[in-house]
Amino acid sequence: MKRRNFLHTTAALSAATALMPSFLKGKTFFDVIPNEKIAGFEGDSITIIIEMFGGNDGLNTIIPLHDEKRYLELRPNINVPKELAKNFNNLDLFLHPNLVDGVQNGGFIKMLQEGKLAIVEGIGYENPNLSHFRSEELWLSGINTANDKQSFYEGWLGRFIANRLPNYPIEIPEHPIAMQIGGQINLMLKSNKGDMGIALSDPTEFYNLGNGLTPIVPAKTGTTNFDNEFNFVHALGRQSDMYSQAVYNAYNAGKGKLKATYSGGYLSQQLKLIASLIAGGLKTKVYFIKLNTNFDTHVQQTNGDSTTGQHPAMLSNVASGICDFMLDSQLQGWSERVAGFTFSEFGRRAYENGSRGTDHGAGSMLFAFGDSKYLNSGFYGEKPNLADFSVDPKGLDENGNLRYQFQYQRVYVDFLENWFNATSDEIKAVFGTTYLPMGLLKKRTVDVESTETMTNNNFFKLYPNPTSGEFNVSFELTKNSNVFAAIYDVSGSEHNVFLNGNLTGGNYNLPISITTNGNYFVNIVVNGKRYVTKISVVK
Amino acid sequence: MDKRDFLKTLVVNHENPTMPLNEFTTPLSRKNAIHLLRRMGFGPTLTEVSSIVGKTPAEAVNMLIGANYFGPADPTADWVNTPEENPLEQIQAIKSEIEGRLNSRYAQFVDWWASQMRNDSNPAAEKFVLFLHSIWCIQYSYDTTALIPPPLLYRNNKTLRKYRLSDYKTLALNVSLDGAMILFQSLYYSNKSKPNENYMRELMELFTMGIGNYTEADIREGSRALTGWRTAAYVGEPFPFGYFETWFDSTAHDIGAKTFMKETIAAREEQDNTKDQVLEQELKGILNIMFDKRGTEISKFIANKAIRYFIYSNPASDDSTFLNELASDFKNSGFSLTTLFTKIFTSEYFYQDIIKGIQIKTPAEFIIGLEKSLNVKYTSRRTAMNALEQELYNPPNVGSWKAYRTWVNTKTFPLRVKYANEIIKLATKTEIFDLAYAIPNYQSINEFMLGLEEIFFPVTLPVETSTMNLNFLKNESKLDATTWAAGINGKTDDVYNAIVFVIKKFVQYPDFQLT
Repeated sequence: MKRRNFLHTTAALSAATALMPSFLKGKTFFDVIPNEKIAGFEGDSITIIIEMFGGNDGLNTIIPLHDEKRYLELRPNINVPKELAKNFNNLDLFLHPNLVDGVQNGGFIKMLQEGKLAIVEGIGYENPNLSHFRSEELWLSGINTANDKQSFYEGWLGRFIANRLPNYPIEIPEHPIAMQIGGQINLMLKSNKGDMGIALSDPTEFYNLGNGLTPIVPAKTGTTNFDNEFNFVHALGRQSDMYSQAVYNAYNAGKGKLKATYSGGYLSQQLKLIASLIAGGLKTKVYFIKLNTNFDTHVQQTNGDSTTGQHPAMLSNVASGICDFMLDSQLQGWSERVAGFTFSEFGRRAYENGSRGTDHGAGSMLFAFGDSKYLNSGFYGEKPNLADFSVDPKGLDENGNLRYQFQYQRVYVDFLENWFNATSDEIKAVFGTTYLPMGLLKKRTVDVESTETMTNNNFFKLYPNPTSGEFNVSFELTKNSNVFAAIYDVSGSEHNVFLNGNLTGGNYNLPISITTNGNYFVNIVVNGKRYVTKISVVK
Repeated sequence: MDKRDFLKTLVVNHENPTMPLNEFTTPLSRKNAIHLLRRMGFGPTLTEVSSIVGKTPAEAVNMLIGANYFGPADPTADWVNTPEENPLEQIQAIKSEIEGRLNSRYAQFVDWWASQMRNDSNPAAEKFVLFLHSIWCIQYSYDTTALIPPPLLYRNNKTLRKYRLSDYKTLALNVSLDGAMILFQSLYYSNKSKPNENYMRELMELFTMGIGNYTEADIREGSRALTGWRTAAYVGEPFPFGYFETWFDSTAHDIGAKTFMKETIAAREEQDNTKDQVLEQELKGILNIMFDKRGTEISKFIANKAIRYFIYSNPASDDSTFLNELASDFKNSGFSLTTLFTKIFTSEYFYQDIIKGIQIKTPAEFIIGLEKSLNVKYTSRRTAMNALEQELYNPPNVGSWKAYRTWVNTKTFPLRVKYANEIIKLATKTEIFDLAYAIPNYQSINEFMLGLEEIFFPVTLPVETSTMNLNFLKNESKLDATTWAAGINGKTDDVYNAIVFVIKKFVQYPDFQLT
């Protein structure tokens, strides 16, 4: 095992009693690493992830009034009429009124105007699974598999964090790297080394239960199975103790620093807790909140007026929470550090059912939010095509579900690369493949202030374009460089990698071949800087 | 590395061939007796320990396994027999009322089962039932909306108990016919026009042979053979044999020929479309084909599950020699679970020192085991086990509890300490001194401490830790090596408080979580 900079601390030993034999006193039992010293986690960026579990009805969130006739046909009883929807002119978008009305600071329309909100339409994966649990597992594990029965025991963030903690559990982070608010630790944060985060409901309760639990017996130095399991539990005792104190202290230091008013909604209240922890100096990198099941709107999802009922209430909850939190972060002066996104395991059927509700569907949508300095605000994707399958094969699928446009892992890659400095190798270690980032964020790191967006900037030439399949990629390297070059399909999934390694300076001209018609993205990452160009293959 | 290789790395599966399956014939030391009771049951009482010390492993296992125990008499309570209407078909107010009753009965059922685990008379029976429940998972709350009636859960539990020592195929047959399984795995909704593939897939993937040993066509054809089975789950639905009994709806059964694993199950005439014939030729027929054609795979799959459950859950530590020989004996015995369990608990492999203390206690082992070692009864055990993330008959998904290291996290570790302290508080002077006097040479303070540690920890503590414990005991009891005997014989408050103090210290040592 590689040893890095350790912070040796014996602070938690105050729990041990004076009766300990003298040889144990003052001995260093464990190693703690400050979060900012963990390789790759040097920055102070924070990601907020909000799960809208149950299957959010995307078509009644961002209203498809670009095809009003068809929308009203699909949803005669539960539609949001044009006169109620909130129009965002710049993008010709129509938002559910509850994303704006009753939400402080102008709601999601104002966030769009100020460049703090992005909307991704048609996020999902091939062959959607319509079981809540299975589809959720795919989203949380970050693994796409045609094999519906593969069991998952690790999540995408759990794997990512675990890879950055090579000495865990001998060496543990000073503050929890990730935190789930409420419930039991979710699959997303699980890894083969154990949970890569903690679940928190109430800082005071956690403190009362966890404070003082560092084992007064030393960790084992051997590597037998017994030693390994002993040390695993030992680390959890230490973490319960250290983290319960760190969380409690941060909470108490931060709760008085809040500057915005938070609404009484569940999400708002949970984000208020998170804002207190951030304001109080907790160095947690990822916060996760799961909104439970109320998005599963099979029956009576809205009352007669479209703005009250189960689904509209949840939308108010989401918009208020995000707007309250982002306003607070701005007033407190740390809005540039935070960015986040929502997700839902699937969307809902395009046509309503007989119970004023909608059944499980596909083609979900999500929101991303952050400071305008780093978020690439706007609308991603095509407006959904609502045509019946028999009329337009590119419309709804045979089951009446929306098509997906983007592979869901692309959003994760945005956050891993731009917020946590992940390399292409790390992305591959997490997902088993790479994905083209969605492009929602600009890079934010401590050392390198880079705000590259995904453009080519004439770095490489691609010709001919369009192509019949055979084409050339040419570029010049001014010095020895680390190059990762891959082609992605239109959903953002990896088609093939054509370069991965260190290249000497000079001119390169590579012949490439793609056999199937379609649009692709050619992507070259040089020393961490990404260049992308779209190419059409037409035979 | 391609995608397929990557997916394989997600569950590490190294093979470490080290040790053949040999019988361990040395009479049980105290240490080995405790080890056996910890793994084969939920943890020892000192009476149980003394009842098997000095016996050979074979004698002890034969005694503990409870071959003649088929379970307690049916309790007379609402949750055992009361049918309800299907809540999903009611208006909201009625639905909530029915669900309220179902939730309360579900809780009573779990309380009942957990109290069976706490029962001292059959130390291994309920551990085996729990092992089988964690393979043949059933979730009370199995979709965002649906609940399985608790009387069906009870009947499934009874089936597992009744067949826990039978051959695995007989168990498979009987669980397949359990109403809870029929409902949970959608057989209830399966019919000839639209066979539901859920159960056929899980039967092969999760319950018998594992993925990769069958084709999608096998699932489709097998599902056709399993159409027509129903259970009388709700008031207002047909119940030809009474509520909660399984029946056969011949009109829903697909009578055409099926080709399953390249074997043909012949088409039948309408007059042969009867419960008995379909059961015999199709359900049993499918199971016979599975066990005939995939016997080796089934034996390995199940033997591996038993090893992970009873020996070590870490998938990276599988011993291929031991596994292969165990699987082979299991298969050759006609898939006898008695053979499987006996071979494990009488093996040299099981009694190696490197096996002791490497398993993280499940919530059931943690709670029930502590109750047993202190001879107390903890009425909140269901609440505690739920909070520790093991809800009986409500695992997180059909793939069961993820187990192993997922049992302990920063949420459950502090709760384990909390619940342990609540349980220790239940031990009055009577229980503490009963425990103390059962320790050999308890009148020596050193021997007493070693004996106490032996009850609560799976491996001998380092001398330094033991010395620290001794200091705690001396300090709290205000006694020393020479005055200890008088103090403990006198059952003084100081001694009682000191022993409780030390046990509470134990709770925070990492190895207290291990078994």
